[in-house]
Amino acid sequence: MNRRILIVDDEAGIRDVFSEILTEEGYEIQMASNGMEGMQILEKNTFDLIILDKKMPLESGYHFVEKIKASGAQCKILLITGSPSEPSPAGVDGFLLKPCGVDELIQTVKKLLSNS
Amino acid sequence: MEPTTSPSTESDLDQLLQLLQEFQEDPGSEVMEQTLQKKLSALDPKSQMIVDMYRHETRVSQGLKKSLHRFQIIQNLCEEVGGARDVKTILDTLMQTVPRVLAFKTAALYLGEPRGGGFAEAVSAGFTEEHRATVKSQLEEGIIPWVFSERRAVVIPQLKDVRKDSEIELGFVIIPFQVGEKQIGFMIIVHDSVKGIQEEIQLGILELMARQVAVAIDNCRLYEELRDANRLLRRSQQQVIAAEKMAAIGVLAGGVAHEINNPLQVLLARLQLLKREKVDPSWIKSLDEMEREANRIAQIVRSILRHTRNQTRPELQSCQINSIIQDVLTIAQSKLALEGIETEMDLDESMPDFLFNPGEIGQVLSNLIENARHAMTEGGTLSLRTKRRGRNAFILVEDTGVGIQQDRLQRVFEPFYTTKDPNMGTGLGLFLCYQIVERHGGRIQVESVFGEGTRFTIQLPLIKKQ
Repeated sequence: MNRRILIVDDEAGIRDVFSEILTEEGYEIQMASNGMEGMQILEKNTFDLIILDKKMPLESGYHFVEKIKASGAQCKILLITGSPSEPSPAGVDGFLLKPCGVDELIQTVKKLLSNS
Repeated sequence: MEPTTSPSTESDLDQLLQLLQEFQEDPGSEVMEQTLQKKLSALDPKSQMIVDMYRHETRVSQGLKKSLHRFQIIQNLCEEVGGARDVKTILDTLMQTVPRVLAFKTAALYLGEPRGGGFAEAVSAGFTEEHRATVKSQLEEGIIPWVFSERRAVVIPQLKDVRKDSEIELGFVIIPFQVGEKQIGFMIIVHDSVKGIQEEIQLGILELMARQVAVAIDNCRLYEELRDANRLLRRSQQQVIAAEKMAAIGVLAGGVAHEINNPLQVLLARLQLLKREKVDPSWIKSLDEMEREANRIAQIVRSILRHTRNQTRPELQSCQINSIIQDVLTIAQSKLALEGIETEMDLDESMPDFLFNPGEIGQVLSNLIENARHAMTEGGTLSLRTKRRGRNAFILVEDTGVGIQQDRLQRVFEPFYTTKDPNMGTGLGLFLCYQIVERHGGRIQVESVFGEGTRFTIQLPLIKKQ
């Protein structure tokens, strides 16, 4: 069975290109443009990995991570951030520094999911 | 005195008239007086009376002319010193004017220190060490303080015989320069003879001059204090404005950087995906170049974000700055040697450990060394020095490179300002240095001579671990 990934990012361009890259690698992808939408999808589906932009309008990546953990969802969280050393919320399994390369994204996802 | 004869001959009368004319030109001459007296004794009483009246009128007229001349001197002095903006001009004018009132060979003006602490010689003519010693003892013995309390010029006779071959009674004229209770200074005029200061009017005129000059000096000092305070205020204001501008630019840059990251992510990812497709080989070069430039943008954005992250106080540790400098130089050494750059170190061994962030200060030093390296494309010398002065540590980084033109010097610490090729720098290195040093409570300054070299001076407070 294919691994399922939820991409949560307010930038449509980033959602689309990540989705293309990861679909090509054989993953099943779903997308949300903000934290609220992401929670709604999460309530009805299970995922192996959530790729999440830290800085989003309406709800920051931080809050979303807290909610995911609170919901009891068993999935890894990969945080995409523009600032490398800002404090990160607890419960995040991996980081990617924006802008990241294609290979970097693929390798990081593989590594996170191989440990599941 | 019994008259003998009247001037019966024309020649006697001519002689008398001639004498009176000469007397008019020099009424104070003793020789003239004696000659005239001899001639007078030969006249009848009426003629004697007429001549006496003439002599008296001449003396009064000459006296008035002298007084007028002296007051004109005072007026000129007042006009010149009144408009002076520096004390030196006032003193020069005074030393040129006083001899016209009272001829002297030796004189000196002592001025009080603006913030208290006694009097110091400000200007002198012909003053010797012996004279200075005399003034010192006059101060210690309270003579000069007494003159100030008298508020008038005082002649002190025979204070010292400074000429060994003869005993000559000297006149020490002490003139106080006061504005109300403020003791601005005093003037010492050493005259050849007490009797040389013949007329009281001379002392009066000197006192008048002293009052005018004292006011002028006081005004000058007040003006200088005001001007310095104004300069300091303007400089502080400029620094505050500059610091706020930098901070605002930093915050803005941080916000913009974040916004750039998103489209940049899409751009970079799409370029890389395109390269994976089967594209025309002739496109590969362009795609590679586009990817490189996109990565370059990413680097710039990361530098900016690193800066905005540095807005908080640095984590301080008690370290030895000399060791940091040696470490940084060791790392840079090979690159410097390859480019024919010699290095010199002069580190103050008395430098104590103090609190600073070694990583950040190390970064500052690396940046400065890197800049120095870029400035010396044909070799040169890089000097690193530390100096402890008072409560501050000074670090100097100096090169013998191309230097920076004066009109650009003021802008080197501005973000994105660079004199290098665009591929060589982001224009943020010195901005970062400035921010790091400021956050340590220090200062960084640059001096440069175009064509000769540049020196950066970092000042850090010597804060010890509590």
